Amino acid sequence: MRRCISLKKLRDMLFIFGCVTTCVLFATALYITIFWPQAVLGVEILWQILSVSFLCSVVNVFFLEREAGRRGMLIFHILRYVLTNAIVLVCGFLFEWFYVDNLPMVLAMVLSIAVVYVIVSVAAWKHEKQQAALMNERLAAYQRDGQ
Amino acid sequence: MEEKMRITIIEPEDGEEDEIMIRCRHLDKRLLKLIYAIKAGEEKITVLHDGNYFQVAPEEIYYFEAVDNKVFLYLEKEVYETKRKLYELEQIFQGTDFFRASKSCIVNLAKVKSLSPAFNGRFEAFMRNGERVMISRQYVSALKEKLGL
Repeated sequence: MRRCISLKKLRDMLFIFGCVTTCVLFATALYITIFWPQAVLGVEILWQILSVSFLCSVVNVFFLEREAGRRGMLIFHILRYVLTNAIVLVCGFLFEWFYVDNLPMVLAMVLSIAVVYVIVSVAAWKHEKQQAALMNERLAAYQRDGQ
Repeated sequence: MEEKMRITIIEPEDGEEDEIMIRCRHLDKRLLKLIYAIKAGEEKITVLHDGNYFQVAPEEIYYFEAVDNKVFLYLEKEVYETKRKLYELEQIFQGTDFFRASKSCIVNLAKVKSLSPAFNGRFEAFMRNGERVMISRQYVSALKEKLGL
């Protein structure tokens, strides 16, 4: 049972990691095209993208494990978003993706995070919707067979 | 492919007890479900209401909920308190239509109208009496397994 839970956690994390990495890659491509069109990038940018995606996935999976009421879940959502922002902005600063005194660059970063966050949340929601549809089908069959 | 089962009802002799005997080569899922249902059907829950004790049949129960160290059972409209602990109820109804939905709830799957996603991998069960019960993320896998997913 414990092993199943760990495997599920790993699967959830891989799902989020996949979504986040894909979106971050798109956001990075767009960001570089706008702000660093002449830049010649080294292989380290790929590692930087993977590291940021990994950290964001860990934070998101950590919050997925928490259980709370409706109000608590809303607080967890806000915390998750704030932490995701903090991770990307701190990493972005350390990896020199932007200058802190360049407001359009900082705003573009914040906007990218918001867009990626929304896309990942919608993807997760759609995935759960599909799961629910399948479960409802099976529920109907379960209740039919049981009668 | 499940084999067809013949059902034979034999009237006991005078003085003999009523008995259910199952003759089978192996206990498959269908038979186990049947045995659990018979056992659970016999297990009526004693409830307390207005200082009086009486018994409730499991098929009338929508869900159990633990609140402040007390366990309540919810029927279509009525709510009663039972002295049983939630973990005891979970054991009694193991393998039946009841499933653990969260740390504080056990739900009767036969009374669930539909399931809908809630945030963070949780699901919400819409009961046939119009109530809603939250299914915690950690119990969703067990529910899926119960539904054969």
